[in-house]
Amino acid sequence: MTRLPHLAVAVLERVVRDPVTREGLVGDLEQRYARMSGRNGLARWAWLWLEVLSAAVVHAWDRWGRPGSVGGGGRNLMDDLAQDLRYAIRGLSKRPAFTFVVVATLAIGIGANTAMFSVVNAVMIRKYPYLDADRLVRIYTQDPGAQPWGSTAYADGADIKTVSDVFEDVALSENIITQVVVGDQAIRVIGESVSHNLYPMLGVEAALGRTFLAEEDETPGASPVLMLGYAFWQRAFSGDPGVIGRAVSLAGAPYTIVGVLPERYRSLATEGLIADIAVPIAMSGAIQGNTDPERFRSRAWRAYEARARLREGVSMEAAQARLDGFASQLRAADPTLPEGRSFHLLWDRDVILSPEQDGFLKSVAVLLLSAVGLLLLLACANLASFLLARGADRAREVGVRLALGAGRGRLVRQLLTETLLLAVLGGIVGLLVARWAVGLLVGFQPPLPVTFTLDVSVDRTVLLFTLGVSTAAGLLFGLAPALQSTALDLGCALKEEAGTGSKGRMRLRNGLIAFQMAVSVVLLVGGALFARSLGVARGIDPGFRTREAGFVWVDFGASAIRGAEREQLVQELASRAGALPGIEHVAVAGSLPLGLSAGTFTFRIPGVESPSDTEGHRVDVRSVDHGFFETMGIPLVSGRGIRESDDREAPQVVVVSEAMAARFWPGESPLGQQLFVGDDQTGWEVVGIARDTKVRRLGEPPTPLVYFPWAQWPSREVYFVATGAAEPASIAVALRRLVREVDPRVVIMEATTLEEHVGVMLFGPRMAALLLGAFGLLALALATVGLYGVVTFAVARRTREVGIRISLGADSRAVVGMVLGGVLSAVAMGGLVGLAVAIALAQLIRSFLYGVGPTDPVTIVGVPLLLAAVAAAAGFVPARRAARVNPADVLREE
Amino acid sequence: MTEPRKKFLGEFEQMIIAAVLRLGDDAFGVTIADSIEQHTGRKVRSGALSVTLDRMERKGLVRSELGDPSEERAGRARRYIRVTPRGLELARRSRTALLKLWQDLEGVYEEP
Repeated sequence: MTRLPHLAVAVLERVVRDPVTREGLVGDLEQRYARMSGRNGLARWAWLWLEVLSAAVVHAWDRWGRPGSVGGGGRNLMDDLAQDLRYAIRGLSKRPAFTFVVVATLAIGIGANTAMFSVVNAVMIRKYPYLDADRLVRIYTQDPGAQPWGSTAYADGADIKTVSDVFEDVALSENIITQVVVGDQAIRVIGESVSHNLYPMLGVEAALGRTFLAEEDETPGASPVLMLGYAFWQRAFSGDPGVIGRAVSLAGAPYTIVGVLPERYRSLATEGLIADIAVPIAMSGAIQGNTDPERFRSRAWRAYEARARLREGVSMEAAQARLDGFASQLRAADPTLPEGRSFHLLWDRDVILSPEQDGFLKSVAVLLLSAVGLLLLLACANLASFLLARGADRAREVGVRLALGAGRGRLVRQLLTETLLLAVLGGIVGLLVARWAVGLLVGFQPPLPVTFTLDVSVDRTVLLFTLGVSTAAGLLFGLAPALQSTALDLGCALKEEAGTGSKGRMRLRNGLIAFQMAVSVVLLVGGALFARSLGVARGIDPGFRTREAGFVWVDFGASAIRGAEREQLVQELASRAGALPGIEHVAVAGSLPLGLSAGTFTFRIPGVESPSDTEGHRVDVRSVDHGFFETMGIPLVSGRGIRESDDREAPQVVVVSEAMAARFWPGESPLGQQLFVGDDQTGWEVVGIARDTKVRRLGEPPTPLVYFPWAQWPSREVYFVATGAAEPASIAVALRRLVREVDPRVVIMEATTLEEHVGVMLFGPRMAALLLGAFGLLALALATVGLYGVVTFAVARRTREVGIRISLGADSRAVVGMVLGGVLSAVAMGGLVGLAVAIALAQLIRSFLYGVGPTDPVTIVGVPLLLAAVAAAAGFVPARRAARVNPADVLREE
Repeated sequence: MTEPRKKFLGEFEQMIIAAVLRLGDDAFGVTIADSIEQHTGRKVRSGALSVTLDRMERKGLVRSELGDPSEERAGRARRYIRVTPRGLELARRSRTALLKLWQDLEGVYEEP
């Protein structure tokens, strides 16, 4: 019979209690609803639900929310909550020490988690709200023999754009590092060069001015315009809106500012990095000093990141299949396309930095988040044991209230309110701790040529996360103690007898102690392993001189200096460098060991089988001059090094590393043997063997390496390394000055000491050791506080019992031993479990460690011993106090 | 349970009492709402009205009882409202107070 939707009626039945009221209300609604039959369905429906919901809300408030609304004792939920809160605040302020310790403990745990999560959020999770982000893809190029996620050639990108049935739009970009001169200040900046359609495709609009125009993409080097990053605009131009149209010097040439990027935008590379500038892609060559038009025409020149948006309704599989077909079409039409080239698609949302690096990044994130997670667990365990102790303290009070008829549920709720209050306070302070910690973390700049502006802000996600963690901690770790505290033997509680403590409480307390020990062991073992790893890394001999040498790193490619001109310049620079005061040896090299620009090449070696038909052996290579081995302190094991006479007219020769000799010519001498590069028919003769050096990583095994004479194998980038009596830092400065003097066109990437250069390699292990070591120490501190508190309390509770036993003739030491016994066995148990877990987990971080195995004996033995000592010390003081107790005093208290 | 005694009625309560008095035996949710809307232009939601009636009943200002079920209300009964003596007294007092306040101010408040 009812005309109203059943749901509406059900809601009202539930909320309105009084049957008369209910009948009247529902009836009124039926009547009014019927009256509306003349109006259209949607209007009726809207009116009805508005009525029903407003009725539900006001009646619900009247019934449950309004103070004094529930019948009987005149109390309702809101009243109870308000009272609980007042009570909790009063109770906590009466015990400031307890409150302080608990809030501090939680703040550390929550703060560390929030800080770590902020960083992870900034680099890995947070994404700029691109337009239709779920249809954005990245396009990678793969040539045979190379890894599948390579950069794309400009020409390929332009052609892929024509596959318009699948791609709505395709745009390219490149990351750039260059110099801007503002006023009289030269500032190193990071930025991106982009196709004119990239920002519009992503939905990034200019905050001021405009983005780039189509014609600015047409001719390489013809459109010197740029956009400023928002933060850079604020920093370097004080946010002056008149900046549009102004000229600045960029990479030595005048550019006009046409726009400012939006405030929220960070960079294409990663959310954690902020781009300072953006230029049209046609200018990327000019900025890097290389206006070779081949960079936009040649399909072999792969330098760009490609992004595209799929058309609506096109699936990833369909798009990939289409691209595969397109690649072969392209080859048929243009034979300059390298044989076997293919293109791969990935969803943009699945990529953090790049497919190769993401795996590593994720494992680092997991490691760090786990560590802070454990720290939080430890803090919560501390919280639980403190609460338990406090609960036992208030036994009498709880007993009285129970005796007076308070429901157990009500009491538990009250205790939980107190716990939640502590947790929320801990969360608030934790947020402050997090802010400070994040500032600290971000300050650790990796020693790279550019200052990275990492944008780690505590945003809404992080705040919600913190709130969630605080609340969960409070509820989870407060529940058991709260339940425990209210499960009292009333008789004992009222008489304020300590008793031996209920079995349940003792079990819970010992369980907590064991848990704290276990977690502390895991964290400390982790920290210790990383610290030892750092020590080992520091001690690794890289195989070359790391002190007393400075170098300057230049990029001839960026300076558009090639061929004979380049070789002449290199010779001149090398000889003039050797003449500088305080310099004895000079070396020229295309790359440095443990450097960022290591190159590999494929070789065919007669007599040694190739891994496959098409592939040769892929080996690291380095171009060096005749001064290299001496300057770098790399001894020659046999044969000779590179000579000055090994120039372009001379026969092609190479020097190989020991590892190379051992790998390809085991048991015999490689001297006189030939290597063939790629498809070349002319071989390279091996004339010498050099001692092994580290090539890419400090922790690597001996690596095969081929040294080419620089004159026979010139490189785009060149390092001039020099050693001598002068200080390395001043050597670097002198070299830099020399380069500027000789040819100011040359782009200088870096001028520093070899020691700093190697330091880059140590950055990772150093950070890891620092972070995990810090966590380990925090864990130690928390565990100490927790153990001390718990043990003190456990002993104090039984002071009376101790007193009685002693007065009855027991040996004081034996009695204390008995009291401590339970606690210490929990400590031992926890320690063992923690050790087992730590060893198991250590297997997972094996790849991060240098020269230290997961079962490193020093760590495995040292850490538990340390913690045991801490626990013993924590127990010692209260135990001694108990032993000294005067039995007469105790008995008198009865 | 009775709530602390008040001396004056709230604005909405006054409107309700007035409407109920005017409607006499025919005062229930729908008619009260219609009357108020008609005389003041104020739109009344059924929920707000019913909850206020509950409160007024608790304060002893009105009394309600169910009538017979009817077809137009899909078989639901009407909740008839009557003003109690106390309710009437409070209504009078509130009205008098307001009139006294407005006395001699007619000039200001008369609409041109």
